[in-house]
Amino acid sequence: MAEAFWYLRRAVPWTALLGGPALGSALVLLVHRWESLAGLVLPLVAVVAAAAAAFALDEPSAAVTTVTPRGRRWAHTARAVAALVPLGAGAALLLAAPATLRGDLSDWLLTLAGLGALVLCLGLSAAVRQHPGAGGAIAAAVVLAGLTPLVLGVLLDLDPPYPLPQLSDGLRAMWGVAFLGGVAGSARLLVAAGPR
Amino acid sequence: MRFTLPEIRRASLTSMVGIEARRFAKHPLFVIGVLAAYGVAVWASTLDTATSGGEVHVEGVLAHPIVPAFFIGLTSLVVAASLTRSTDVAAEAMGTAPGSEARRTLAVAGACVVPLVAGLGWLAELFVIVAVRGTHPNELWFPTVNDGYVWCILLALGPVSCLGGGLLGVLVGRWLRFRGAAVVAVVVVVAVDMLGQMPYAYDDDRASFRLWVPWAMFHAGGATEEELNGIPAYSQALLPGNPAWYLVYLLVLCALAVVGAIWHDRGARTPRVRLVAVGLLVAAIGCFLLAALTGISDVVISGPIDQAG
Repeated sequence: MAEAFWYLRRAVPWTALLGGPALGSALVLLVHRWESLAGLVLPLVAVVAAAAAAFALDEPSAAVTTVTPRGRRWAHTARAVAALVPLGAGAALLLAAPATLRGDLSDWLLTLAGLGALVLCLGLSAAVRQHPGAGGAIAAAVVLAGLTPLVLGVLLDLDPPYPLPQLSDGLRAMWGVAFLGGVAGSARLLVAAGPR
Repeated sequence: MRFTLPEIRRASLTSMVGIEARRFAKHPLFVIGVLAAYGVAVWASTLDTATSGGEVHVEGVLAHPIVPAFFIGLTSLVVAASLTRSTDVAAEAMGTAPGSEARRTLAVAGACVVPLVAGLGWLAELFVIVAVRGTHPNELWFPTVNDGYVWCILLALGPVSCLGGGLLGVLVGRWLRFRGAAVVAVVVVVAVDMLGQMPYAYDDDRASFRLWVPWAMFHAGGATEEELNGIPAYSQALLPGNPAWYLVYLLVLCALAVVGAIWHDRGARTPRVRLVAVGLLVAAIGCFLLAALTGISDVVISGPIDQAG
């Protein structure tokens, strides 16, 4: 365990990981001040927290890590645990949002879990293929994809896939499948990574 | 005697712009963004509709430029930031090569003509869709609004926003070195844009001052069953401000982004560039004030627009 902490403290880009929740906390403050922004800002808090998790899997020296005694699986597993930090911070930020605007917290947690699991799976997929610095691309894709339903909603009168104020049964099922699929995909990638 | 050096320099910059433009156009994120913008335009023309005399029309057309601004403009921000930073890995080699950081910056800035052209293509697609399906007689469009206003709104919020997204990406790529800087820029642009205009966009006295943001809405309302922010049900509104000066304001902001990105190169901080920067800053303030204080003085409300379906 101590080795894992030592490794994570030095190997993980904590500034990028914690930058997402820091940005999210500024957004939550905005909702406290301007309630009309809740429909845009609360989904953005969840999306930014999930996007920050993508940086946990960034491994600039992947070729070296692969041939260390502990191997890739250990390193990737440790990094996957680190990815829970921005997700946990995101959950805390959603909890801190005004309850009357936020709606159902359990729905937000499910949304965040689904987003986080998908990001983790994408990050691991890039890490296994030794793409250094894929976190930035994944984070950008997550933020743009996460905002897309809100933009389309302006034009097309579509319900966004966020609990504003709560998820429909179909959306709950969708985020549940995203979570389970992301976790299963991540587990498979970790197993396939092997000790080396 | 005539020297050939200036011609060689021009040719060199043109070649660099060409190379960067090809890299821009081939970037997967940009390609996805452009395809999404073009696809959503078609999708919106089938879902966002109104009826009159039994015919189905496109509805809320002046709200549609949000599509290229988001799908092309914001993806261009990320792509341009990535292209700008991509030469950093070879900084030492670049230092011994002819040219300078300012020149490389100019090359990527020149490549931002790619999102501008993509935005113009989207506008052409919108005109084709409107020509095929037509607009409701009460729609806020050329027959009911000053032609100049319509052109300026469409150009400012569509193609020029695409260009601005790319140039902002160049600025971010030059100045912000931390991981995920482009993502943070996207989130900040979206949040500032909404925060900068939403709280007072419908305030009669202060609505024009929303125009300081890089993407200000001019169109509001539409398919709502109840009155919203003073706009009657099933009606649209054109918000106060001068779209022509707003278009100029955005173009000045684009130029400021280029100068700001070039300013990162200490060797390029000449008195001339400083003068240009100060001049653009003054021009931006002037254009914003003209955009806010002239043009449409009160909210223009359309007649009721029957919803299809």
